[in-house]
Amino acid sequence: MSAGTHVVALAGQPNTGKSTIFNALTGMYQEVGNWAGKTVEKRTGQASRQDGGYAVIDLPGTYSLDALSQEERIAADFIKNYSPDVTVVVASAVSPQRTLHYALDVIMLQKPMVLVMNMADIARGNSQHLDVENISQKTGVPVLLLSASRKQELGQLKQAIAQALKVPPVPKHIVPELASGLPEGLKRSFTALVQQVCDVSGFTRMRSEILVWKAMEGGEEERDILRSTVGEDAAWVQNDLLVQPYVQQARYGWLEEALGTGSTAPASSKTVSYDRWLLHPFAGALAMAGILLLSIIVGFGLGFPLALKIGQTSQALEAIASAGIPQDMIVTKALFTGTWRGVGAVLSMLPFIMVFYAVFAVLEDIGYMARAAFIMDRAMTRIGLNGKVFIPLLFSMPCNITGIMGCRTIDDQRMRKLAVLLVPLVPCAAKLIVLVSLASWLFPPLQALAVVFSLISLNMLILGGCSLVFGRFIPRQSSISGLLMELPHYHRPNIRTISRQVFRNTLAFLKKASTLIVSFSVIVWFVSYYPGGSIETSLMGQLGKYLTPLGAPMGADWRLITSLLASCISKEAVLATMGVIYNTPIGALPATLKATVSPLSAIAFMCAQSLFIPCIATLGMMYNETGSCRTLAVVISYTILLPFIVATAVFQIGSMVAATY
Amino acid sequence: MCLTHLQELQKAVVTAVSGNQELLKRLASMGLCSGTTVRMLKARKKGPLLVECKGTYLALSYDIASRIRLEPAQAVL
Repeated sequence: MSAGTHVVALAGQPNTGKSTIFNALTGMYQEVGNWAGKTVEKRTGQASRQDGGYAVIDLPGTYSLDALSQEERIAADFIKNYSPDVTVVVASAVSPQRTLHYALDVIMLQKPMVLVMNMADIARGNSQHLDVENISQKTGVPVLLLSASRKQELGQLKQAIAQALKVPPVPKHIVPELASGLPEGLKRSFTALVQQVCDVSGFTRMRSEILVWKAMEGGEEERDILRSTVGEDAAWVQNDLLVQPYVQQARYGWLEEALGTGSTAPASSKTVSYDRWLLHPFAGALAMAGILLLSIIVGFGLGFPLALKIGQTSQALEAIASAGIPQDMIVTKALFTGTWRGVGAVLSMLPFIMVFYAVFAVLEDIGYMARAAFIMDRAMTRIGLNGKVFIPLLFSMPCNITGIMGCRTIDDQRMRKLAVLLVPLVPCAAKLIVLVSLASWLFPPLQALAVVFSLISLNMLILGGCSLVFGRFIPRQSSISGLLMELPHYHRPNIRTISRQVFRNTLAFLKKASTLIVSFSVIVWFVSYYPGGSIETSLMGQLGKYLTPLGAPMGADWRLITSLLASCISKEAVLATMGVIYNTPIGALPATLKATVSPLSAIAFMCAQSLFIPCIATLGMMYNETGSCRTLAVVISYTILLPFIVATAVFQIGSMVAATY
Repeated sequence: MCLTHLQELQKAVVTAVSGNQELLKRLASMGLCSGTTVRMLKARKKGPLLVECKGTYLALSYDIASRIRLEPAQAVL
C-alpha cells in the first residue's frame, strides 16, 4: 500500500457476509497474512483503479469491540489508532438488532463510517422491513440496504465509499440518547459523574460522556482513566451486576427505536423449519452421519483416482529424469530424488485436499457446519471438549495441516490448546490410504473392512482418552465453560465465495506444506540412501535394525520398523518405502507382504502407523501456529510412545487369544 | 425460572444473567441480555440448547443456560 492511498477498513460481526463484501470490493487483488505477532488472519486487498484504488483491510469478525479476545483487540486498536479513512461496518438485515449492536461500538469511536445492512434478499423473503432513512438519521452516517451476493447491488456501496472518502461522514454523538434510556437513578449518577470528569480533567463534555459510558459498559482502559481522574467517586461504575444489564438494555432500546417495528424476523423462518429436522436428536444425528459419510465418499471417490494418477505419473517421470544423473553423485541424487518425491507427495495430496476443501466450504457456506458442531457437542463434552472443537478435528481428516489451521477458529484458549494436541490422532487421508491398502492386500474383503473399521474406532477411543488425560494438565481459565455459538441462517451456497475459499485454502496449504515437505524429504531421502545407496545399509535402515528389539513385542521386524520411521516425512511414503525395503516392485508388494508378514503383525503395524507421529509438515505447522516448543515436544513424545504401547498391547493380546484357540 | 427449564417453542423474557463480566458482555453482544425475549427451539436434557433471540439462533451449553433467569411469557403454538 503506497503512501497517500486511502484505507478502508471492513468491520462487522460473524455471519453478516463481510467476506463476500471484501471479495467484491477487492476482486483478485488480495493478500492473506497474519496481524503482527498474532495468529489472527489479516486479509488485505485493493479496489480496482476505476473504483478509486483504495486499500481494503478486513478486520477480524467479532461480536463486539470490547477487547476481550485477541481478535477484538486487533479490530478496536485498528479503528481507534490507525484511523482508516472510512470504516465500513457490515450488519445483517436479517438480525439487525444484534448486528447493529456492534455498529454502536464503532459509532462511539467517532471515526468516519458507512453502514451496510447486508442480506437484504433474505430479509425481504422474511418480510422484514428496515427503515434505512431512520437508521441513517439516528446514526448520522450513510446506511445502505443490499445483498452482497448480487453483483449489481454492489455499485451503490462502491459509490458510497467513494463519496465517504471525499466527505468523511462522522457518526452522531449518541451517548446522550443512549443514557436517556437508563433508569432515573442511574441516569442521575451518570450525569453527575460526567460533570465531575469534565471539571476535573478538562475533557470536553462529549469525550467525558463517551468515557463514562464505555466505563459503564466494562471498558478496562476507560475505567483506569476514571480511577486516575475522579478516583473513588467512580467506583459504582464497576459494579457490573448492577450497571451492565441497564446499559445493555439502553443500547438495545436505542436500536429498537432506530429500527422501528417490522424489522424483527418472523417466528417461523425456513431456518427454524429445517432445524426442526436437522437438529433433531435422532434424525439430525442420522442426517449428519449421512452428510459426512457422503462428503468422505465424494472426497475419496474423486480424490483417490486423481492422487493415484499423479503418483504414477511422477514415478514414471522420475525414472526418466533421474537417468541423466551418474550413480556415484550421491548428494546430487539425494537432492534430486528427495525434492522430486517431496513435490510428488504434495501434488498427489492436492486433489484430496481440494475436494475436501470444496465439500467443507459448501457445508460451511450454507450454514451447516455450525449445526454439526451443535449435534456433536454432547459427545464432545463427554471427552472434555466442546462442539466447536469438532470442526477442526473434522478438517484434520483430509490433512492434519488443515486441522491445525482450523484450530484458529476456536475462541476458548484452553480448547484451542487441547485441539492442537489431539489433531495428530485423527487419521489423515494419507494414513487412511495406507491403512486401507494394507488391509485390502492382506485380508479377504469382509475381514479387511472389519479391520479398518475397528482400527479407526480404536483410534477414536484413544483420542477420547487422550483428550481426558491432556485436559487434566491444562488449567481452566474461566469458571464458565461450554458451547456458546451462533447458528447462522441457512442460505443458498454462493459459488464465488466457495471457490475463493477453496483457492485460498489450497494456496495456503501449498505454501506452507511444500517448503516443509520438500526440504525434509531431501533429508529423509538422504538418510535412507546413505551410505551404501540402499535403504538396508542406510542410516535409517541401521536405525531400524538397531530398534529391532523394541519392535519384537509388537511383532515388527526391522523392515516394518524402518517403514514406520520413513512415514514421518509423509504418510503416503510408507508403501513406497516398503516396496524398496522388501525389494519388490509396488505391484508385487501385496503378495510379498502376505508371504512374510503374519496377520497379527500386520494389524499391530497398521495400528502403530495410524497413531504414529504426524508428518513433518504437520509438526512444522503446529510450531507455526502455537509458537511453543513444549507443545511440539509433548506431541512428538506421545505420538512415539502411544503407538508403541498400543501396538504391543494389540500384538500380545492377539497372540494370547490365538494361543488359547 | 431458569432457561434450562423453558419448554420447546415457549417464549420468556430474560430477567438476569449471572456470571462474570466476560460472559455477560459476550451474551449481550450476541443479543441476549436482560429484557430480551427468548424462544426455546431445541431443549435436550443436559445437552446444549438452541434459543432464538433478536432474530439470532444461539447455541448455549447447559452450564451457560443455567445462569440465565427468566420470567415466563405467553406460550406460543
